[in-house]
Amino acid sequence: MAEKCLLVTGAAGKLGRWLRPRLAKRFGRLRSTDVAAFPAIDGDEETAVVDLADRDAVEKLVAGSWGVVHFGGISREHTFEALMESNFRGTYNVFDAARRHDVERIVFASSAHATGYTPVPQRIDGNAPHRPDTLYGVSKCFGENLARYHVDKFGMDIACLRIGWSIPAPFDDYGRQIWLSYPDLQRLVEACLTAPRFGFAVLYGASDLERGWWHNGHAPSIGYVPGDAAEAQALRSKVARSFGSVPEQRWQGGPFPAMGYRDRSYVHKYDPPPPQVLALIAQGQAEAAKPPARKAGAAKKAAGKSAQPPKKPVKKTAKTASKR
Amino acid sequence: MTQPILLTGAAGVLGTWLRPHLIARFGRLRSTDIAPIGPALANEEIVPCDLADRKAVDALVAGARAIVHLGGISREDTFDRILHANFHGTYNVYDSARCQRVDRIVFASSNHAIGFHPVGTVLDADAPQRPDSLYGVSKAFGEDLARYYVDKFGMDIACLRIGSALPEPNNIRALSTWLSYPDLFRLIAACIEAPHFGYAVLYGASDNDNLWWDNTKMSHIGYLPEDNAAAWRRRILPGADPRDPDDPATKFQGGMYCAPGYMNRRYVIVDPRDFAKPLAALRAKLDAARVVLRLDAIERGWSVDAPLAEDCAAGARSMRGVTFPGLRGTPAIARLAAERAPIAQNDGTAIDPAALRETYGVRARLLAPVLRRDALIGWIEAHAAAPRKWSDADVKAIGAAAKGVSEAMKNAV
Repeated sequence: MAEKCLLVTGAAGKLGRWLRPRLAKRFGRLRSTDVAAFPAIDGDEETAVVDLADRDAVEKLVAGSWGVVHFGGISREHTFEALMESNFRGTYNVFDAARRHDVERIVFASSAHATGYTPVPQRIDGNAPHRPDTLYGVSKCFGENLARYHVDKFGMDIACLRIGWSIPAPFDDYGRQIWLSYPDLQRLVEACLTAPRFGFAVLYGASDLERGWWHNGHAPSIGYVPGDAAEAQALRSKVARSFGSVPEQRWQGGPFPAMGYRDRSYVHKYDPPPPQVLALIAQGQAEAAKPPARKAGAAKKAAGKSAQPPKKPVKKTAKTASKR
Repeated sequence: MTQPILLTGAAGVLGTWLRPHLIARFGRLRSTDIAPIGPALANEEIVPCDLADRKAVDALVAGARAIVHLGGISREDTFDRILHANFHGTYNVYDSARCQRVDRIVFASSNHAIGFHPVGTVLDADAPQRPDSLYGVSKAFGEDLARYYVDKFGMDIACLRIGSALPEPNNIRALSTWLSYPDLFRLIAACIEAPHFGYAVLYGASDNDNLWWDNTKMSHIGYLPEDNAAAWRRRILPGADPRDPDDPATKFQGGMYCAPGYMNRRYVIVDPRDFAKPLAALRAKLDAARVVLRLDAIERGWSVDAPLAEDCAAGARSMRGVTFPGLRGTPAIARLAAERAPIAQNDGTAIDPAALRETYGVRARLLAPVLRRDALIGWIEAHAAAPRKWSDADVKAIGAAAKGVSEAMKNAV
C-alpha cells in the first residue's frame, strides 16, 4: 500500500507557501493543490491545479490522504456568487470527500471574521457565537457549521482555526492584537494534526493568547502553545489605544465590520488589500520561497515542541516598524 | 395604500395555511413560490419566482412592508439543490431587502439547525448551532447571514427555529416540538408587529408541557403561544415510552434527521433523479406501460404513498404527485413484505387499490421489494395495460432493478 499523504488546499496562498515545506518536513508526503498554478517545494510533494468546486477532482485529491489542511477558498470579502462556488461548494466537496474516504483529520482555516462583530473589549474563546462581519465571514461560519455536522453525525475530527491576521509582522495596534506569527501558525496546524481525538474544535489563531482578545482555554487538549506571544506583547505600544471612537476600532473584525456599515447602498465586491499589506505579503512570500537551512532548523525545533520562538521575525518586525 | 407583506414559499403546507390569515391581519399580501400556488385570494397578488434569480427577487421585494421567508427546500436533499434554493435564495432575499430598505424579515429557520443537541438539554436563544443535516446547515447559514445583515445594516430579522408545525402532534417527539398552525401565525405576527429588535432567534413551538426550548430571552417580541400538545399525550403515549433510548432519532432533538447515516462514513444522499435512467431501462426491457419506484424515508418527506420516480410509455397516464394513502396495508404489499421476493399479478383481479385499475388502467402488475436490513422500505412496480403472463425473465429483470435500488439505499438511510 502506498504511503498516505497530507493534503494541503490553498497551497499557492501566502500561508500555504509558508506551511508546505515545514509540514513536509514534519509529516512526510504532501499533496498540494490550488486553483492557480504554483511551484512545488523540494521534497516529497505532488502538486495539482484543481478547482475545489469540481467535485470529481476533489474526490481524486482526497483519496489516499490521511489528513487535510483546508486553506483553499477566497480569503477576502467578495461577491456572494464567487464565495458560493469557492468557499461554500469547495468546502462541502472537501469535507464530504474526506468523510467518504475515511480521512482521519481536517484542519479548516476559518477566520476571526466569523466573530468580527464581537465588540472590542470582550475576551472570548472558541465557544463565542457567530457574528460574521462580512459575507466572507458568513462563509467561514458556514464552514464551521458544516464541520460540526460532519463531527456530530459521522464522528470525524475537524479543527476550525479562527485565524486573526497571519502576516510576517504586525504594524499597528490592531494588528498586534490579532497577530498570528508564521511559526505560531505552523505550531497551531501541527498541534491540530497530532492531538488525540477531539471531535469538533474551534480555536483562535493568534500569538498573544495571554493578553489579547482571544484565548483557547476551552480546548486545552489540542496543546497549542504559541511561541511568539511575548513578542506580540512587547510590540504593543505603551499607551493603550482608546478603541471605540471610530467604526474601524469598535469591533474585533477591524476594518471588515466597518466596510459599508449602515450603508444600504454598499456593494459586496472584491476589495484589494491596502499597499502596506501587499508589501508585507510579498515579503512573506519571498521569505517562504527560499528554502534556507536555517528555516528548516527552526521548523525542526518547533516540531520538537520547543517553547523557544525562532528569533527571525523579531528583526523583521523591528525593521518594518522603523520604516514606518 | 397599504404596503403588502411578501410571503415566499407560499405554495408549501404552511404558506398555504398562512395566506388568508396574513391577509386578514395585514391587509395585503404578495405571495410567491417556484411551484404553482393556485388562484389568488382577495387583496393578494401572486408572483411566481425562483429565489435564486436576483432580478426576479428585486422585483418581488420592491415596496414590501415586511418579508416572511419560508421559501426553499424544507427537508434533507443533495447539497447542490440546497445550495441553489436555500443558500442563494436566502442571500438574494436578504440582500434585496437591504438594498430596497425593507427592514423586517421573518426567516423560517428550523429545529434542525440545533438538531444534534441531546434531548434533555434546554436550549435558549444563545444555544450554539448543531445542524443535523445539510438542510440544517442551510438553516444555520440563514441565521448567520441574518446576524450579519442586522449587525452591519441595522435590519430586524427574526429566525424561527420551527419545531413540528402540524395540524396536530403525531408522534412522541412532537409532544415536545409541536407548533400548532394558530401558534405559528401568532409567532409570525408578533415578529412583524414587534418594535425594533435587531436580531432574534425564537423557537417555534406551542406551549407544550414537554418543551425543550425556552423563549424567555426573546420575550420582548411578544410571542404568547396558546396551544399545548399535552392534550394529545394520552393518545400518542398511553403507556411507557417504547422507543430505544440509544437510537439517534430518540437521543437527539432533531429526531429522524439525526438517524440517516449516523456514524456511517459511507452515507450517500440519494437524489431521486438518479433513479430515472435505470427505471427507463427497466420499462423498455419489460415493455410495460409504466414503471414506478416507491420508497419510505420520513426525514426526506418520501412516502411509498406517492411515486418517488416513474417512467411512462407514450400515452400512459403519469402517476407523478398522485397519493394513494395506506398503500402499505394492501394485501399484495403485505405479501411482498413477508416474502421479500418479486410478485407477479397476471390479471387485474388482485390489484389494489381499485383506482389503479379504474383510473390508470392497470390490468397486470409486477412487484419487486426494495429492502434494507431485511425490512421492506419500498418497491418497484411495473404496470401493463392488458392482462399478461409475466415471464421468468421479466421477474428476474425487475428483481435485479430492485436490488440495485436496495444497494443504493444501503448507505443512504
